[in-house]
Amino acid sequence: MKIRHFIRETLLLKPRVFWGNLALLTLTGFAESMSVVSLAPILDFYTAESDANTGVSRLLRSQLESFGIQPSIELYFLIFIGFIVMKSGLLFLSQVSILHFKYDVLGVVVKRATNQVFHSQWSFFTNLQQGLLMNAFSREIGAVGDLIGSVLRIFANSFRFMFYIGLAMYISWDLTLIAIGLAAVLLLPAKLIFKKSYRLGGLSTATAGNFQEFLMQCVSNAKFIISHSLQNSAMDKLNEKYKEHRKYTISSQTMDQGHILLNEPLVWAILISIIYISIEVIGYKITETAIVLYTLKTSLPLATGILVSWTGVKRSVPSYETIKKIEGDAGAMPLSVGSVNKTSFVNKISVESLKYCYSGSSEEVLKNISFDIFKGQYLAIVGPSGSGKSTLIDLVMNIQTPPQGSIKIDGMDIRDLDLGSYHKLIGYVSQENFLFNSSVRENMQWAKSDSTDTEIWDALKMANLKDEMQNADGLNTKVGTGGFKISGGQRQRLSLARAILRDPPILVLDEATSSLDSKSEFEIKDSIGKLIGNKTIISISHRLSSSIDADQILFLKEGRIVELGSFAELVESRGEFFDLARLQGLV
Amino acid sequence: MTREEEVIQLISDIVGIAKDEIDIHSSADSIESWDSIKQIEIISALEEGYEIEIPMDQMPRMSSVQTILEILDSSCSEAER
Repeated sequence: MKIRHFIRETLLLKPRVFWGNLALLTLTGFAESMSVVSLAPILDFYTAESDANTGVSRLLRSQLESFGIQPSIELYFLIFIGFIVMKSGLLFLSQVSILHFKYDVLGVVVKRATNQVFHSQWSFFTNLQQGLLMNAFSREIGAVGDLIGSVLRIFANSFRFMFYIGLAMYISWDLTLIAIGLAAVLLLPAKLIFKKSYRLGGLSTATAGNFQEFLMQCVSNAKFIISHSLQNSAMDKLNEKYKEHRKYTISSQTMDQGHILLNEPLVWAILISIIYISIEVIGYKITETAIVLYTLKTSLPLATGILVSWTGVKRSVPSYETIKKIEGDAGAMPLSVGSVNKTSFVNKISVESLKYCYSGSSEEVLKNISFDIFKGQYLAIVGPSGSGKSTLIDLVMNIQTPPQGSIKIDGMDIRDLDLGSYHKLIGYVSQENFLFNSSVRENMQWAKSDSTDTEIWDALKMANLKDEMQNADGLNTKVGTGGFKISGGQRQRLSLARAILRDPPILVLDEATSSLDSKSEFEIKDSIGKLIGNKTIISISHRLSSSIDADQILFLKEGRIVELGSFAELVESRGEFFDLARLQGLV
Repeated sequence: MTREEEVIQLISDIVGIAKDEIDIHSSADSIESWDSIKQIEIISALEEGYEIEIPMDQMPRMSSVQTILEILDSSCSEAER
């Protein structure tokens, strides 16, 4: 990525602040160079016979006299101190301003990326390495912050550098040109380092993502690892990934640090050469040599700083590219967002000729699916694993977009609806419980932030959880990380209660009882039984037992509707559903 | 010269060991002088030599002759498309 693209995409997001910062830096550069200029008459006063010995001193003296002010050493000191104070004040201001600017821009970059990610279809998350995403939003965001800081430092140091060089040229152009020629020596090794530094930065980023991805997988599969005594094997693999990351990161940072340290002797060699050439070869006086030397001594570290920042920029650009790639990938799969506000469910949901393929595949996981669900009906979608049940629910929820076919609610295509308003009509309970490490009350309030305790208790009662919570710590009961302080059945009923609390007309139960024991399954089914008739229920499960009470059963196999009808009708038809029901001991 | 021989020649020039000491199974683990900096040099030389751009996420894998050839094959066929 070209740096100018980065600047256009980030720094120019806030053009006024950006140009304001540049103006402040210009003023700072001016004050800095003036502080050096005002040193000349002081040096002349103490080293030469006359205070008007050098061009700079003469210029300052004539300026003062034109204002009717009689120059004196005390006045020169005062002017010098004045410019130093002004320089320090402006430097402080510009650094604070840059800091604010950096974090403002970073905030926009983070917001833009997260906004795109959370407005992408569900398949974006299933296709993505989660470690990569976590790494991007932790480590890489930090690196992008450094990148913004480095670019701003380049601007800041360039301004100061230009003022110093301009001043040195004014005092002695020939000496300055010789100095610039010598300083160019510094650029040669730096140029060779840039590309390697960029590459190593990229490798450091990539290997950090691999390490974090594997670490996350180990943590999420901790039970499997511990129960199979695979800790050593997991640790070895983790260590391998860490060593790989360590190798590139150390090389990358060593290169940057080494570059800085190697520059120091070079800078001194250049300064000594300039002193010799100035006094012995050209024959300049000590004041002119000292001022040129001072400006160069100040500007050379600035030039080195610019190079170091540039190396940092090169190293950090891959981090920004990673964020941009995630943003781009998420942006390529946006949620279909319409503008029609739908506030009620009146008649039916119609699924018409629906087809679906996974991203990058031509194989249809759903083939020409059509059916209706009427208000107040209980539809059970059953079928073996991989039959397309969850994909069908994702499409009904409009978190995936079908390439062909449509889903309509009360005759309106769900892709034309405002997604927020559509999702308010649906309560979703899945096999995985999304519980936060806080109290029952706070977890419930995620569904409805202004819910009262009475409403929460009513929802808990509907979900058959009221008594157990009353016996615990009431609504203050802590559920633990991911709800691990309460049982699996309680977690599932809490999720159901949360869905009930929103009082949506449609309830989607995605394998809601699949991982539960018989008692917990009975309790959930009992809760659902209370809702039948009041809510439109769409339940998916690979267990046929959950479909007995349904008005309609949709039996899916390999992405096709194999059978459709009530439990009694499907049993009577003696088809595949009947065979499976007999196998599960239901008939 | 086959692609494998070209790659081995290039690695030999960069890491500074004789090419008959390198084979398809050689890697950064078996060749001491094949460090991260040399790896970058190998990647850059391959990109210049074959006029391809190797994706950043593939670069960490390019620490053995075998994987270099695999990635090179896929990058070259992608460039041809």
